[in-house]
Amino acid sequence: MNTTDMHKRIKEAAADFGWPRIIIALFLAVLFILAPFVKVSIASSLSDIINRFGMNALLVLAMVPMIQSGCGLNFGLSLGVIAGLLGSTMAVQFGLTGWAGLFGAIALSTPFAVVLGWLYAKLLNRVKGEEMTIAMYVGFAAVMFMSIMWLILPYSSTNMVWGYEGKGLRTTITLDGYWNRQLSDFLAVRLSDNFVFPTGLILFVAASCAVMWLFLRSKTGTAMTAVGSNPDFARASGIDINKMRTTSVVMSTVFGAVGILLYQQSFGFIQLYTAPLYMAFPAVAAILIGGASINKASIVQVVVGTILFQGILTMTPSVINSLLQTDMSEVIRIVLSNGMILYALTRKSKVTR
Amino acid sequence: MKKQFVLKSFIADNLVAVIFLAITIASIPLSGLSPVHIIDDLMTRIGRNAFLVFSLILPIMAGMGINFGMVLGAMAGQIGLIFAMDWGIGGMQGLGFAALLGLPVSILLGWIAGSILNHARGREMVTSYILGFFFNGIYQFVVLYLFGSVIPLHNRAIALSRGFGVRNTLNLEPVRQVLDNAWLVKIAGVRLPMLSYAIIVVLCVFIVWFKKTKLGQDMRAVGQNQHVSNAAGIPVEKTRILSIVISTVLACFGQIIFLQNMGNMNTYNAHDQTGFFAAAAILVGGASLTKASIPNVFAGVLLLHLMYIVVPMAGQNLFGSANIGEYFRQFIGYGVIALSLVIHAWRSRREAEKARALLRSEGEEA
Amino acid sequence: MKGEQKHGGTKTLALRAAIGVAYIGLLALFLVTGRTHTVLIDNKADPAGSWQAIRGMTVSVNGGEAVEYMKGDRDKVSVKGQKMRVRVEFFDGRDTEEYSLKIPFIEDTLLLSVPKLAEGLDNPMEPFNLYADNKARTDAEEGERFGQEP
Repeated sequence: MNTTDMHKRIKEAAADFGWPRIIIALFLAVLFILAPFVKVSIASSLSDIINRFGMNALLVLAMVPMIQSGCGLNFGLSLGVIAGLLGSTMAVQFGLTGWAGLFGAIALSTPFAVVLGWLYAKLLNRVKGEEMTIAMYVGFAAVMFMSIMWLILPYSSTNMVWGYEGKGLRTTITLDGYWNRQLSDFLAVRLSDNFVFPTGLILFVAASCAVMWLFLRSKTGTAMTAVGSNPDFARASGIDINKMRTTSVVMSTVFGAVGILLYQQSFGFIQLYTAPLYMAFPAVAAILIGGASINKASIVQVVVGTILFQGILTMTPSVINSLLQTDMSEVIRIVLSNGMILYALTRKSKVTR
Repeated sequence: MKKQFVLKSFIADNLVAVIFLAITIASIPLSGLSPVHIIDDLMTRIGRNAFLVFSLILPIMAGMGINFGMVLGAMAGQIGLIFAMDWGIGGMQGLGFAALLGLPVSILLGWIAGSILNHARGREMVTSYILGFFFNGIYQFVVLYLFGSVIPLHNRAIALSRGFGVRNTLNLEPVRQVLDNAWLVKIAGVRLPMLSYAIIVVLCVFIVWFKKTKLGQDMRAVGQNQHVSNAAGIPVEKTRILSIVISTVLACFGQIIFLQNMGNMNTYNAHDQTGFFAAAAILVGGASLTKASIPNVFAGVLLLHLMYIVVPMAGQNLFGSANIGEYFRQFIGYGVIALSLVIHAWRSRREAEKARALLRSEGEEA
Repeated sequence: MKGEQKHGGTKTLALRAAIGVAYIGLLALFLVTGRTHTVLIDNKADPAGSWQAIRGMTVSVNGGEAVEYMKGDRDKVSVKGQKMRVRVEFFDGRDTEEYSLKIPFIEDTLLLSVPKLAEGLDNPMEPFNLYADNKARTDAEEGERFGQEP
């Protein structure tokens, strides 16, 4: 009687949520179920996932402003990463450690992020419609330019420069003794042998999400969303489209800078040279997995997407490798993350050029 | 007023090539390389790389921008080469075998890519870029796991020590420089691979002929205006897909030509930069996202590879670091693409605004 | 996007079948004519003593470069196709000989013992297993340790 109705409703709900997301969630569930059978500790897996969530969440969050304002997926996230690298290398150069190190790095990165974001925005405003590809290549070119800079800039701290020549930064710089795990260990709670909950890190992420959430509800935030979802209406309401887009790009770059700082403090290293080249892609994949589209994204989607994405990245190596005795994780990661991006790119969106 | 405008657009038209030329010319003396060496290297590179760049022409003509998905064709060609090396097939036969095997694979991949791109109108370039990554994952899976297990490998020498999966470096000794050496002409210390050039000439003839066929005209029409073409009865979707299919097939052959010159194949990485190099070349050569011609390809390959030969050495000599030269080279490469894209986007917006303004003023007068 | 194409007509079918046949034919042709084999040319005595190494000769395969072999030498040669013409010039005054051999398609690497060939013994050329039990690296230029044939 009403089974066909229910059928239809379930189908619609599924289509709305997106079949790929359902498949990924199911895949993750299967991995968790398999875990104990292949001797993979669920506790340490959960611990890993939560840590990786904290590491990456802000980089994914950085996607939101630009998506909302209609600038598309921020493939130029590497610009924000560069700002963060500048800040953190300077903080190490000045010998800042502990909290001074972390917040010093944030303070030093922010002006760079604002300037870079502002220039980036000016560029994007002139190329409305082809932002994504241009962002990608501007990002690549910037990373290469900075690679030259890392070799030339007058850094001198012995922890950072190459041994025998004394100039030029090393490829990876350890944060041990500076602010390694500063946030992660703050108020950390040991729940079991393998499970340490990085309270400080999660608190910071939560606070950042709250800030973004409040911003999106503010007057500027709603104006930004209007520019993205209905530019004609926005223009008619007297909103300065370019100004809103610039704000969104600057925000995105700043969040990107802080995001990489969080990533660094968890990872323990500053990675220079070509490391930032492809950093935008996992963030893009994560937010798309969470359900965002090219012109609409929410905080919930950021959280869900990052957890799912990092979950897959964590569980797949351990489970499948134990199961099949081979390391398929890299291949699965490539196929999944790019598949998600493809899926999002091929959805019909209401706002075209 | 009109003269001023013409000058501006001329500069914008050729800005990228001009900047490129300036940097390259400045670097030649700094590099310390002899002219003979430079020209010799350049001639070899043209024979090796030009074919790949041609594969970008048709999608640009059909309005799909830069087809970064050409790397799918490269992967197909590489799979063909794996089979050819499995049986140790040498000489022209080896290349022919690889090309024949790669052909159906590239057609299939091109068809899939084209269909996906049809679902991403207005975002073709980003989508083709991600398509390249996605299929790279599938390629890695096939080459790392399926070869030697599900796909039988005859020659254990090309498998990994664990028994399945293809080795990291595939030795192409049986087909090494077969095309180059088949008809090698030496003039004043410069080696000219005439057969490669001959093949490129044949390709040019094919493209010129193709542009005159109905399908070619259809593609051009679709590239200019999809709605009008649709109204005129042209099967827009199928035409777009066909442009990608042809592009992928050409990339397959081009990659085989590229690899036979290299003599060795990095099984897992050889195709990584294929799209990037081809795109940089055609854009430097003066092509835009909507217009690309054969002279663009030649000019672009010449300029780009001249730069690649000269600039790293100049950077090394100037800064005393080989790394800086390398980074600078990549910076210029990426920067050139970014600059071309920006100029193109900027100009198409300008033209759109001008058209709108024109429409408005006409409306007011009426 | 469904155009009005009729997938019919015997003419189109015949054309497609012809293309298919030509495709497979070309593949087979390339495979058979292009397949290269690595042949190790060997000038060693039989460890059991049934035959002696040749005291000096040059060997040229399929009209290629004539390479000198002294007692105990081994070198490798790439042969395209399944036919092999071996021309041996002996240093000890014997007449120059030309031998014709057929290479089995399946084998990648083979070992040709010229002494055996010169004396007309059975099976002068045998498949050579690169991955023999003692797993010795097989490179003719690299010294003496070649595995015994299984």
